[in-house]
Amino acid sequence: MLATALAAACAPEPLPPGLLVGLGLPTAATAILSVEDDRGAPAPFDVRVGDATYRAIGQLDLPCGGQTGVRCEIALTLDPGSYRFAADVRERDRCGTVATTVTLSSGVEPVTVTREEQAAVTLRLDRTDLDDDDDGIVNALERAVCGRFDAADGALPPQACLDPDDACCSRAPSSLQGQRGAFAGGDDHVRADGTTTTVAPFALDATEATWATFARCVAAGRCLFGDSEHPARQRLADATLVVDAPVTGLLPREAEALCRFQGGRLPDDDEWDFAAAHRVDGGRGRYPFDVVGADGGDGAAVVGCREGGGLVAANHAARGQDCPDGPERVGSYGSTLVDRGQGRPLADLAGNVAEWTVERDPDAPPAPPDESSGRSSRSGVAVELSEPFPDGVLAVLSRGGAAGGIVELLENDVRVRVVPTSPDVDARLRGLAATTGVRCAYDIVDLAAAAALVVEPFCGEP
Amino acid sequence: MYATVTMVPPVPRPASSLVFAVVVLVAALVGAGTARAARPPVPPVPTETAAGPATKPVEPAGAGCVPAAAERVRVIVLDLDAAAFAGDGHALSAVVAAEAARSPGLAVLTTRDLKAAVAHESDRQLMGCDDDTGCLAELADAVDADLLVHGSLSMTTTDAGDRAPVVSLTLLNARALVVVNRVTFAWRGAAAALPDVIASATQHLLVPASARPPGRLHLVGLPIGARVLVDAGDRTDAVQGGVLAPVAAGPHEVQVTLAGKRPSVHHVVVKGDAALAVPAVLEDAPVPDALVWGGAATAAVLGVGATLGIVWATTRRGATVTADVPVWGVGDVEALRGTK
Repeated sequence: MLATALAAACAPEPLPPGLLVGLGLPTAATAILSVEDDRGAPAPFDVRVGDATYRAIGQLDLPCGGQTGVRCEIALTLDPGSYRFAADVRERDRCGTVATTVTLSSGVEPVTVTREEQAAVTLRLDRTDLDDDDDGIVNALERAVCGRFDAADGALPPQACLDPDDACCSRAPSSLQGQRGAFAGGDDHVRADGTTTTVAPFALDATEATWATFARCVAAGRCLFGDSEHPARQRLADATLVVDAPVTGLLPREAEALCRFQGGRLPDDDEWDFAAAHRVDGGRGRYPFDVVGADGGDGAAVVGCREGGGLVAANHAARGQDCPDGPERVGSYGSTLVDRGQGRPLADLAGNVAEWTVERDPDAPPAPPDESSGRSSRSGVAVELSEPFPDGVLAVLSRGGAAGGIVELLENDVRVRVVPTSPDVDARLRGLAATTGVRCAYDIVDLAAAAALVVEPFCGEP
Repeated sequence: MYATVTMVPPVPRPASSLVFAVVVLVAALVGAGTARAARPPVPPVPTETAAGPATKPVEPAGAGCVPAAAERVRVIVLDLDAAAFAGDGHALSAVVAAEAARSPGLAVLTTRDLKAAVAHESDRQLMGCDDDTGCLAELADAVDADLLVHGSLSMTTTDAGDRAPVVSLTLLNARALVVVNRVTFAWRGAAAALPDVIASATQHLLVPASARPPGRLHLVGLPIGARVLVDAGDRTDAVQGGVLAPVAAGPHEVQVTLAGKRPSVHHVVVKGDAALAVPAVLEDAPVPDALVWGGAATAAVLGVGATLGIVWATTRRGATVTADVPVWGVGDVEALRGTK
């Protein structure tokens, strides 16, 4: 009965004279209309719903929420006087929590309603920066980035997904997503050039950062803020985007901002190399995987296209083969897992997409623990030569090879290194960024705690 | 602070609940007075009262509404039926419960308490209860209550032709299944004062008149020679120094008149042992056009004018309020954070 009454209220039928409220609301949104007199007191008014007339005082739940493509129109009648109108637009997030996402207002000056003529009032956006969980992502964007109204990002995942069409809920996440592998360090590590180094304890994300992670960083104003024309931000509006595929297209400085949003940083190249190449006997592996046979052989993984069944490989262009597909969801290649540290195994150190690493200036002052803005100072697409590099970084590297790339880039000893003085540095970095993703590193003291960290919320199975 | 208003049409009572209510009604009648000998005596059973004229409370036939017992009497306050008013019945009943709790000797329960007490069974029953006494008694029986308060907030058309909210409360003897008292207030004053009206109605429902102290009115700016009428009764002689006392607690219509002035009419809710300020400054009455223009032709014009005036006065116009809320995406972060 109620549903029928509400549907009748929203139907485009002739309305009586009086206050006519018409709100175009997003799907699944509702609104609470407030009417105050010029003294700020709730004003009484009559409202017609279907064939019945009700009297409301000050506030009214507009009974038009959740109707796709239907403009919410409802007729109200009130006495002559001066009034202020406002509306709270409320939405339900994927966990079922309802919150006010934006507020509308008729402005500071009251609207004079007379008997002689119908006044025209336009409610304009008043507050759009509401952030109930104070996580930096405004309520209006929480749904768009799979956040939650009622808990900070990084909290426990929701028990169930309410909307099966929600991109975050459409499939089960990788079991590794949001996990980290930790490495004790302290061992002498032999670099590719034969020199040795000692790596301090660190942790790496078990997977590359996803587009979903990047979207939350953007929504929080910590990634590419003020740079809405950036190709990576444009990709977020692509309906075909696989949100749990690795994010690409970020220059090293932008990738560093994404890691800092998660409380980490880009990995030092020695750290990444330690995770990929270090072996217990002190030697180096050819690939991050323990055993690899390019032609199948006796290896646990095949370096080649995923198609063809059998052993899962890195979707890489093996010799004589062509792998047309781009990167897949993070953690898709189970046979590439690296499990030599503590905590979760690492996926896709080689393959899927390449990953940025850096060589930092040991004399540079450490970055502040919370570089809050991450805001790009660039305007348009022009990039100055020094800007793609994070502060205190001498060189950036692309490691691990990418889907569709040449097979040699999978090897631990092969890397692409770019310094500020490299020829055509801007073009080179942009070219690399197209196939290079972001895996973040973390300084750790307590290995056990680091292994248990969860940095990315995701939907659980319904 | 806003009062949240929701529109919920009355829920039809399931037929099965009616049958169940009848069965329980019969069982309650048969068992009344025998099952709970240890409980305090329930109130006397007066003849049912009739609703009085608008704005005037109806006093119970008995001298008192609540028994004077050593042990506290359990009273259930059900949610008011405010569907026709687009009101929140539970919020309104909270006003009733709060006022009832001020009465000594009463232990007040609300529907929330009731639900907690009888869980799923009460939920089913609540769905079928409106003002059906058998069903209400069934609820009271479930929590071993003696009295039950239910009522409604609705709209009515007054003698003057305008619409006004009406508060109706009924006190039910849950043991004997009879109405102990009934109060009906029509209110033509400010809507913001409705909670006060409901509280006053509750007091009239539960507290004997002898136990309700009167209040007084402070008539601010009362002109010399003005007449003061309370609920159409002339109380001019009772005004001393601008103060009118005593005035029975409850809602009243206060009218101040003086020749050559526009009459002043205020609707107030008087509280016991308290003074209420009422503006009594009168404005000059307009000079009628009839004094300037005479003759039958002018009278005809006035007739037309009066007609137009009535139309003008009875036509309420308003405003057209529009807004569009876009669907936001992460690309809108700058706009949403107020920097673009």
